[in-house]
Amino acid sequence: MTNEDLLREFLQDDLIETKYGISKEKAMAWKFTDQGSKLIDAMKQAILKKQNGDSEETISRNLNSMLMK
Amino acid sequence: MLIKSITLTNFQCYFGEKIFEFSEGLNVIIGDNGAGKSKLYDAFYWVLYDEIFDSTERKMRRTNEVKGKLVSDKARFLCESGGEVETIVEVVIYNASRDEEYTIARTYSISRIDTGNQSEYKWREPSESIRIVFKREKYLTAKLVKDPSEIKMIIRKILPSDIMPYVWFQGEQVDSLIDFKNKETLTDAINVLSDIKEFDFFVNVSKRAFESADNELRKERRRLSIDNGKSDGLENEKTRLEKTIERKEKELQDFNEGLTYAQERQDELQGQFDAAEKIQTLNREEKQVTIDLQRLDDDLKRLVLSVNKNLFNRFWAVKGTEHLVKLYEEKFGTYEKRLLEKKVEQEKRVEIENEVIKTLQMRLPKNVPEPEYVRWMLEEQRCLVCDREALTNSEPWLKIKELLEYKEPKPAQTKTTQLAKHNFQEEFKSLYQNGLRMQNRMADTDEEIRELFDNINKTRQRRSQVNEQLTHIRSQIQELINTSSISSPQSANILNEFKGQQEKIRSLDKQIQTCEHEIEQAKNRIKEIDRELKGLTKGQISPTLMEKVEVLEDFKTIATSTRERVFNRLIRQLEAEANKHYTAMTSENKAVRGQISLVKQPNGNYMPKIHDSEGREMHSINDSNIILIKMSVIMAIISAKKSTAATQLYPLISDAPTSKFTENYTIGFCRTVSEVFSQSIIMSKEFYLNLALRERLFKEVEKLGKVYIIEPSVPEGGRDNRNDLETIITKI
Repeated sequence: MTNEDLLREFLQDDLIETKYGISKEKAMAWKFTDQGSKLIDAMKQAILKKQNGDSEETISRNLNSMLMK
Repeated sequence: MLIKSITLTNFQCYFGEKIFEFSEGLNVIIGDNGAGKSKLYDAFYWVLYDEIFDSTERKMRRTNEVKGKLVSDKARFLCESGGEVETIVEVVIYNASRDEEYTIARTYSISRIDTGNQSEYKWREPSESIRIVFKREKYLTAKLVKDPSEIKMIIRKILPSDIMPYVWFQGEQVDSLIDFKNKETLTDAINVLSDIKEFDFFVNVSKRAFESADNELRKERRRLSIDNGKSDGLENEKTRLEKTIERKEKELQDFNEGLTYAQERQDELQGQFDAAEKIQTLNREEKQVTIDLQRLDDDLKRLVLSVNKNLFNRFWAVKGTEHLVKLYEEKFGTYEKRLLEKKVEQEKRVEIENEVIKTLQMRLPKNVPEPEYVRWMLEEQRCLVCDREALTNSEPWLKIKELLEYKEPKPAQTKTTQLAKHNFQEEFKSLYQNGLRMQNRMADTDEEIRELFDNINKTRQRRSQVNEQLTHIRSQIQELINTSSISSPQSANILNEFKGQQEKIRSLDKQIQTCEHEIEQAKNRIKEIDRELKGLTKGQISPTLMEKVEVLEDFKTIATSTRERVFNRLIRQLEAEANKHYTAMTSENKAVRGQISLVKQPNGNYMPKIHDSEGREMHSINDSNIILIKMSVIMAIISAKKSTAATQLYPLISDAPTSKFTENYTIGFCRTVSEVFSQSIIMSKEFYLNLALRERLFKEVEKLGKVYIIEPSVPEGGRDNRNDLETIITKI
């Protein structure tokens, strides 16, 4: 499963459509490099960090500090 | 991964050096019982994991437990005193994705100790075996791998231990891989063999990140609170509620587990329920019919007895004697008439006698002549009336004497006793009267007899019908017991347990609803507390922090629901894929085989169930179908592991996977396995004696790799002495 596949899976969630206004079609075509909301940035960050082999704890800390910027 | 070859030297029944070479596709090792199939399977296990399967105790054992049993008996026999026997298994595996070849060998040596006695054997058997790993990268020559972590990595590449049970197994182990009765095994298999764990990771990360942000927010709120005491109180209440939610969620999980178990148990019992209910209904009928039969038996006994009684009570015994009564009546009439005549006659005579007496009384009244004169006449021996002589004791003298004894004559009376010599008139009369009474009854006797015998016949017929009914019910019960293997007492237990489970399900449903309601209430209260806490805050909480908490909460929600959505989608894919394999494997079998459905349980786990074409759950599935279903699900899970393409990466190795299959299933299994796995090695007995089936293997399995026949050097029956035993390999 590629990083883009993973991100698209998350973007298929109903909350993304209702709260963040991204339709399912748009989500299906989403590219990993596309700019989005802070939520999508957080997801991308988590995916990339996991790919790097970072632990859950590290990624959690990383997300918290990333979102304070 | 491609297993290129395995070489066995003095390993168990493989004496000397024996090589099996394999290629892609389905490789088959054919052999009868005791030929060495399982030992070959053991060799794969031993070389990688230092374990062999103990068929007696049904468990894996390490070298330090089996020691010298690893070594060929023949090699031991041929070893001279002071000599050494080395057992080696060497497997060569090619990793196409990295163009690397690994040679893994494991050795174990024993040495014979010189005891000075030729017939006494003693061996030095160490506890450890030695593993040697060589790696050849691309065009380079092979080099010895010494780093234990690298060896571990190579072994993991060859076959990760979590995947191993699903691709390396003995036929008899399939049952435990996916146990239909163990709710977790399918979920475990999916977790191990699919990509779902990737999503678990994000669920955990998002939860941790949110909890951390939420704590940060709480601290900030407390710092900015205008009423620390109230804030603390609210925070404490919130913490308590969170703990309550946690506890309630645990309870909910337990209830759901209980519900799942109860439903599973009810499902299991459902399969037996119909038969058990029928048996119970028939048992009740049998009881009632037995009572009816007993009642009819009693009736019949009473009716038959009443025949005997009626012979006397109702005078049936004198049936047909009506003419005798008439005859008796006539005779009795005659008797009475004659008696009457006699009486009349007697009375007449008496009357005459009386008349005579009267006459006599008129001629010679009493004391005439006077007794004095009479005595004198007696003395004189002369009648003074007629002056005739009357000698003593002569008739005239006696007559004169009578005058002295004369008494006043009484009128003669009729004496009935004198009418007949033996007078039975009263008895005869009584008999006559009885006869008359009998005669009255006799008129109804035929009707009564007919009625009673009709009744007896009807009762007999009814009894025969009821008896037939009873026999029918009993045969139905027996048939049900035979087909369902449920005894009568068991059927009662099944029904009781089924009802018990129903009750449990109802009760758990109620508890779940209550629990969910309490959780909902607690969550609502937490929201209120959050609002109250917000109201107590002076100044502004950093919008960035607020946004962070919101974003991470959303991430947590999305990660959790995405995991569930992906898992559910995976389940549907698995179901379709499993059915594809199942259909392929069973295509030539005409028996009803149903469709595999992966059914979600209340606790969130999935269970494989079989439904017929009308969607009804099938409960009576034979062993070979169950194995095929499990194999189908395993293959489906492995095929679904897209990121690693497990079926391409890992060869299937299985000992006797087809032992419970029919011919068609065996061929179907081989064909499907050869399609699903890039390489598979199976050991099978089925193709050994069945040459037609072997023919089909060659004709119908397109992706067929190497095929070997293994046979023992000593035929069965002559293996008491194993000193000459070895396995002979023939490539075909």
